[in-house]
Formats: sequence, structure tokens, C-alpha cells
Amino acid sequence: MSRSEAASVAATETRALERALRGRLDRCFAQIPWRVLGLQVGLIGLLLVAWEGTVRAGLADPFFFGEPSEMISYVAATLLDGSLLYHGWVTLCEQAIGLVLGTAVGSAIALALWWSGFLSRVLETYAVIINATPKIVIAPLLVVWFGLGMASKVMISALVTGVVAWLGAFDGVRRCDPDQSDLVRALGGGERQVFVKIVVPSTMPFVFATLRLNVGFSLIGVITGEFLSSTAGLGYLVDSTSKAYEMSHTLGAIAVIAVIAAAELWALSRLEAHLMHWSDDIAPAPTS
Amino acid sequence: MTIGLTSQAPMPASAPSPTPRVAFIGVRKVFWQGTREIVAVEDLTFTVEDQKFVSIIGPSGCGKSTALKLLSGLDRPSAGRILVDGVEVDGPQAKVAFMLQKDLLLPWRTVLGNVMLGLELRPMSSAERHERAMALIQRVGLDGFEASYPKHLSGGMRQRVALARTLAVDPEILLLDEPLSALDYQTKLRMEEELVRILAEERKTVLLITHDIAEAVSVSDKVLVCSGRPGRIKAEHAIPLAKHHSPEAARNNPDFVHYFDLLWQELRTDVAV
Repeated sequence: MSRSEAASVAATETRALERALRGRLDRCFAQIPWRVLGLQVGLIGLLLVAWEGTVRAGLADPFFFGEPSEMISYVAATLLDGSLLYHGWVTLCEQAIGLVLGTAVGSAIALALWWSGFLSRVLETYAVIINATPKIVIAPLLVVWFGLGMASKVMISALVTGVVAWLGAFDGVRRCDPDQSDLVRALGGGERQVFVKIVVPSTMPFVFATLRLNVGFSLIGVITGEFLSSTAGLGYLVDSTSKAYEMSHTLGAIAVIAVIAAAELWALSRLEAHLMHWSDDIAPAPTS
Repeated sequence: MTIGLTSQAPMPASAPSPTPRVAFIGVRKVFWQGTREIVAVEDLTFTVEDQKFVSIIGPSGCGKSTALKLLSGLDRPSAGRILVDGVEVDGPQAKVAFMLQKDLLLPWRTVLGNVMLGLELRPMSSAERHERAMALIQRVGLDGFEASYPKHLSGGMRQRVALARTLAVDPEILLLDEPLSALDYQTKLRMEEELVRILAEERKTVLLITHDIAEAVSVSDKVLVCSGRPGRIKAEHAIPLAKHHSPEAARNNPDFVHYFDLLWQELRTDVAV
């Protein structure tokens, strides 16, 4: 298998994963009928009640399995005293800054490589290898280089998302319709105009596709970084409370992480529906 | 540049002195597929006179589209010369524009934005650009749709936008590569009628590539019959039916069948079934 084949296989896998995710996302965030929403909330409620009942009835040890009621009161209490907000804010900042940074740098590299077929062929191999390597293995190094604070987590998030953004955006650059480029040339445009008027806009849906994947990837990166060494953040909270067997607290922190991920995906789907509405692939924007 | 000027320019004896708008003289184009040489067109020689509607008709793979790409300046011939107004083509030029079967609308731009694409590449004020684009949108019958995005348009409407975009830069010579062949038959007939009327009113010189004999007969002043690969012109017919610039009128002319049959007899030997 040649290098470009390997690259396209990697890109295809990313796309397949992305498509699977997108299908689910669109269904999640399209206008949800009240009946569905009610059932969704009801199911979670039911699970919590069943859990609480199981623990109270003595069928499960709360020391190991926690208690929903305690989890809720923990979340409420730490929300009120601001400590949960603080940890949540730290993680959110680390992740969001890294995500934006990684997406910007990765997409910029991919777009810049449009100018040089030679250079893109040289660098493609690295991208494919880096992509296949679990990027998280570099996290301990980044902690050594950038310290225990937020900087190292931002770098982990940027690195993890940057490679995905690069590969995804480069796939977009490559799929750019050469006839559209020829149209601009035939109308008297130079290569700079081809780049600005064709290559950049036609790559944007691919950048959004990588963003959607990267919400999850960057959270994994940041929280892993916090597991390794940190003094703040939701990953720190999960790590420290679970080591102290405060299971309800751990579960509370996990619930907050899930809420952040869901909120970001929702915001992203709205942003995409707004900016990429012209794309054939995007489901129509939710109307309400 | 072209070194091997293999063939002489056989200027038609009947043509009076004015330089033809377009002239192909012994054009040859070779592509390489690995180590295999593929001759797309060979000794392609023809002219298109000012304000004439000329069609090239032939089996698929006869290098029609190659000829068009060479003429638009996006590619160079392997041998021979291509002249526009007597000057050798060495790159895209303002007076030549093309319209393809693929409408090439940019999905991220509105109808207005698409029509303005070519105008943005020319020095003019944005107000001027806007005004010119709107006038053309109206001209192709799309007023009210200037803010729509391509994905909400039908095939016929998309080709109208492509036509407006092509006309916006005010080219003198239009290259049409099967622009209507993706449309359903009824839409195609209606678009044909409008296209011919607009192009005649704007006094354009047109080179149309098509595989549709009826279309060629009903819209053209002259039809060039192209042979299978490598493509070369094997016959040339003046068609006197298009005088009124109405394909429908041409189709209703009793002579239509005669010309249709003439072209079909010439083409059928090349058509592999």
C-alpha cells in the first residue's frame, strides 16, 4: 500500500467515524418532539430512581457504587460554593483553547499545503503515522515541558485535535473540484484567487467535521492530562475523589463532563447549521 | 511553444478576408496514460466566424472537450496552432468564456454571489458589479432568486445561473460543452430556445459541443462532424435553418429531417453499440 493510499484509508476511516457521529448528532439536535424529550428525561430519572432504590435496599454497597441522591446534593453544594464551577471552568478553558488552537493550526497547515504538492507528499506520511499513534502517549512529555498547570493540558488538547484537523482539512483540500478552480482561472483569476475563492470555502465543511470529532478527542486529552498531574479541573476531581472512594462525588464530576460535551456539541451543531447551511450534507437547521 | 507546424493552414476558399474569431490549425493533443500515448485530437482544423453559432458533433471520446479546454487557454496543444482573432492562445483570456454540463456553481455562494464571481476578478466598483449581476439574473429569468443558494435550485435554474455568470464577464466568444445535456427533455428544449435567443441578441460567437444531432441542427449555423478517437473533423455542413434564432422554428422546418439524416449517416459509422 502506497503512502497516499494509506493516507486516504486513514481519511476514509475518519470520515466513516465522522459520518456515524454526524447521523446521530443530527438526530439528537434536530427539533426534538416533546414526547421524545420527555421520554429521554424520564429514562434518566428512572435509572437514577432504580439505582437509588437498589442502594437503599442494601443490594449494592454505596461505598463502591455511590448514591444518586448524594451525587445530586454534592453537585448542588459544589455548584453553590463555586468549587465545581471553578474546576469545570479550568477544564473547559484548557479544552476549548486547545481545540481552537489545534483546529486553527492543523487546518492552516492543510490549506498551506495546497500550494505545494511536493511538500504535502513529504509531510503526509508523518500525519498518517502520527494519526495512527495514540497521541495521548506524548501527554507525559508535554507535562514535563509545559508544567503541571493549564499550559500542558492546552498543548495536549491542541496536539490531539491538530493532527485530526490537519488530516481532515487536507482531505477537503484534495477533494476540491478542479473544474471549479479552472473556472476561476478561465475567468482571469490567479492561483491566489483560486485559493481564496475555491479552496478555502470548499474545505470549511471538512473543518467543521473535524471539530465535531475533536470535541470528544480534546476532552479525552485534557482529562488524561489532568489524571497525570494537576491541581484543578474535572479530571483532577474524578481522579482525587475516586482514589478517596467518594463515588458519588466522582459520579457528579463525570456527569458535569458529560454535560459539557453535550453543550459543546449542541453549540457546534447550531454554529454549523448557521455557517454551513449551504452544504448538501448538513441537515436543515432546527427551526425553533 | 509550438515548434512542429506540421500542417498548412487550409483557409476555406470561400471565406472573405475578415479573420475568423476562432481558428484551429492542425491541432494535435496527446495525453500520457503511464507510458501509453493517447492521441485525443489529431490535425484538428476548423474556423468559427464572427457571430456564428458553430457546433461540433461526434461520438463520445472524440476529443471535443479537449478542443474546448485548449481553446479556453487552460491547456496547450501538443502541436498546431489555435488562434483567437488571429492571435495565438497562450492562456485564459477575457473575451472567451465557457459553460459546461457541470454548472460549477459554488454551493457556498448565493445566486448573486455566483453570478458576480467573474466580475470580482475584474477591476470595477462593487456597486457596478452588483448592478450588472442583477441585470443578468433578470435576463435569464431568475429575478427573486438572487439570494437563494444552489442547493435549493432545480437543474434548469442552476444552468440559468451558470449562463448569467458566463455572460456577466461579457465574453465575445462562448464555449458551450453540452451545457444542457443533464437536463430533462422538456427543460432542455425550453432552455435551448432561451439560450439561442439570448446569445443571438447579445451577438455572441458560439462554439457548442454536443452529441445531440437534433440540438446541433436546430441551433447552429454550421455543424462540424468529428470522428472517433483521435478526433478530427471529417465533414462540415452549413445549416441554413437557424436564421430566425429559434430552435423550435428550425425543428419545424421541413428541411430539418434532411439535415438530421445527413449528420446521422455520417455519425453512425463511428457509433459502436
